[in-house]
Amino acid sequence: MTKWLGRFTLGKRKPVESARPVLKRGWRSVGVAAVGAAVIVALASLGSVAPAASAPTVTLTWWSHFASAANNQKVLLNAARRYEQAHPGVAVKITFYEKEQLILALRAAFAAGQNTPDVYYYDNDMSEFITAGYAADLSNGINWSNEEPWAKEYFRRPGPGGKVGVWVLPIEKDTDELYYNKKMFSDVGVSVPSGNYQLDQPAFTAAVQKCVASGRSAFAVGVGDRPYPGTYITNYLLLHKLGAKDLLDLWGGGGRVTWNDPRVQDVLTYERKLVDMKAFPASMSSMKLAESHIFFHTQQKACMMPVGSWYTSRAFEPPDKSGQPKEFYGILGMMNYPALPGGAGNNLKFMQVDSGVAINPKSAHLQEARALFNEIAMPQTGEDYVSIAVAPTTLKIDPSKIRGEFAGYWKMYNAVNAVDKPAVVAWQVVMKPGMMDAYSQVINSAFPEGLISVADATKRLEEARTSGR
Amino acid sequence: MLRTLQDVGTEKRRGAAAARTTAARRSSPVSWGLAAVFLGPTLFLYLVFTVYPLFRTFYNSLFVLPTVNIEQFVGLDNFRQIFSTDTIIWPAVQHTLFWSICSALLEIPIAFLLALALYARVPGGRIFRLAWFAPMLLSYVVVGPIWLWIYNYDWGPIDAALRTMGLGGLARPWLGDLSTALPALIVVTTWMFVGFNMVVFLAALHSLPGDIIEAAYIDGAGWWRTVGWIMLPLVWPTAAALTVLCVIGKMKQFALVYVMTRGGPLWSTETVATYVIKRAFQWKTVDLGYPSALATLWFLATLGVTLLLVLTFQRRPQHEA
Repeated sequence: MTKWLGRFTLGKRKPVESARPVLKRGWRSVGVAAVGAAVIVALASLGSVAPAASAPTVTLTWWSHFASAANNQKVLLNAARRYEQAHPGVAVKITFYEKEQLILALRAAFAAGQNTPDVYYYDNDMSEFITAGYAADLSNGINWSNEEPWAKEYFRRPGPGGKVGVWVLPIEKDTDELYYNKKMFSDVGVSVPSGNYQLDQPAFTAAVQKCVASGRSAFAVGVGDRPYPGTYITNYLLLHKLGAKDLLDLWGGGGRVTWNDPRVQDVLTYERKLVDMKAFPASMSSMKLAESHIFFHTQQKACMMPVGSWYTSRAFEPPDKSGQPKEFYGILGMMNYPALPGGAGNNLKFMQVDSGVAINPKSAHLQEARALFNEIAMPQTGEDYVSIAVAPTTLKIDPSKIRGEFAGYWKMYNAVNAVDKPAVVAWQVVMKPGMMDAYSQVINSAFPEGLISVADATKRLEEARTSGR
Repeated sequence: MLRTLQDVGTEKRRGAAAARTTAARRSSPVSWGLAAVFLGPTLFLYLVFTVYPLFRTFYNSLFVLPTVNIEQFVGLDNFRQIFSTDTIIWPAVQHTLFWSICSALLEIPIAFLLALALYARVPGGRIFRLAWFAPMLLSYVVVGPIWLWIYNYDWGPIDAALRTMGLGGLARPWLGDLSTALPALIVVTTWMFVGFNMVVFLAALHSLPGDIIEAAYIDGAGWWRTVGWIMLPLVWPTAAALTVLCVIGKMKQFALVYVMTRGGPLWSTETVATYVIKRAFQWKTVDLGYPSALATLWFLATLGVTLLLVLTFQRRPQHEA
């Protein structure tokens, strides 16, 4: 036998204690532990047994804007919950996006034909969705009695293959407004008449001059991240000078009215005068929309702010969420854009549908989606929109039911808008894509920033109009 | 015992043949199954996410797609429109090429000088290396807002510094001025990528044979003569490769423009890539035919420029160590 170092030796078997009893005891312990755990879990679950909730048989998916607008979300969620209560077995699942991401996601989903939502948010930046066949015709099956008639007609247009239908259920109205700081106006000696809430051209020019002389900008406008804020002044000057019909022809490229028209030249020349007076902020090119709100109501570096009536959905948030300070509510004023000499549309005001909802025509739940839309198209949604989201609505509502702390704002809004006749024209809808791109580059950005002359702006816009792109 | 030239040639041929046989015996045959397992996933991803979209774009460029699932064959009509009626694409091409050329002229020399400084072991070299390379680690989505703030007319540090020094007249909205918007963006990409080029140059400098540089010193060459006549020619292949990468990278520049200026003001920062995206997704149409035609042409242009650069740099004589 050779003895090795260590425990083992060769040549002689050392008796080894059998491991079987040890293994048997081990497995028994494991078995007992498993049974015990099962008993404990069973006992624990007894205390929390609840009747299984019946899963909804249908889930409607809804992709919406307003990821950053909690108040708008509340309105839509209220409508969804009312619908669910009235329709047991149907659930509504809303996903909130930022608008740009929403449009990209929708385009990708519809192009792929997969994972498309049943219903989705729609606005004027998505007009190609109608012609592309991404929206169902709502001419029938929807209760339109609670919608203002012009709003329904707003979305009556040719769809895929030229078929005319009504493609979107409108919810939010947009009237482009001219807000102003009452205290600043008072300080510089500008008074807005209470009858029509409108200055004439000389008075408006003087107001701009006085604002700038006081060390401020006349207008809070930022075009850093949007293709439209710089267009408000031009849009209204054109509307008031030309009237709605001629403006529609100019924007739509009809050819009867061109950018060389003397009236259009008058408008551009006047606006250039305002630009040369430093009416627009020097940082306009990089200022974002959200920053322009702060510029106006918190920093108070501008007398006026041309913006859509959805100003309130941002500004009426609490100050810590970039809303206006409490003291600003008392000095927020609203007026109409200036009247121009010889203007054909001085009493006109742009009115358009700011947003609505559309149904995916390939949805597997078309009936449920239409029923949801009938719930949305109730006065309750309109009242919520005005009271909670603080934005005007296309739904017919009882003004006495407008509740909340912003009732005073709505009094002012209604008073200013009562004197106007609506012009239901939106350049984003009527312009061809190439014209829209040129309009955004020239009128939104380069022209109010003073980068190009009237002649250069006219040349570029006329080129875009005649190209037909 | 006399060996003729023929004998030497025969011996050489026999030696080469023997070497080939030995080499053939040494290398084991490739197992195709194993190769498929390792290469398959990557090849699949490459085919799905690179090759297919490329050929699909070529295909789409021959069509107009007015609505979902409808294709109208138009042949070369999209390409004809690009050359005849499109007034935005050509300024976009100019801006893109200008950006590519300026970037190459700025990034490569600056990176080489920075690498030289680190090679010469300047004090604080480690900190400088980190500081100069760090911008490369940031994405455009982060860099864009940082530089938007830097360039801000009201509160940006550049204009604030100018006003503090009494040069308020020079303060301007850098991204809102037609003459400064594109150069302002070029400054941003130069700041971002000079660090990467510097690191590559530094590696190239460290890999240079030390005996040649020592020999230059022994022969009396000063520092700058050594750099100009010895080191620079030796790192020339690296510079050539970085130049090609730089130019290709700027020829597809999109993200920074989209974040900072969206092609404005007045298309002065519009690049081909941003214009293609606008035509594809922001032109109030679902038609991808025309933007596909733009993308196809630009792909061919980029390929052409790349080949031209490669051929140009290849012609330059290489100095072997």
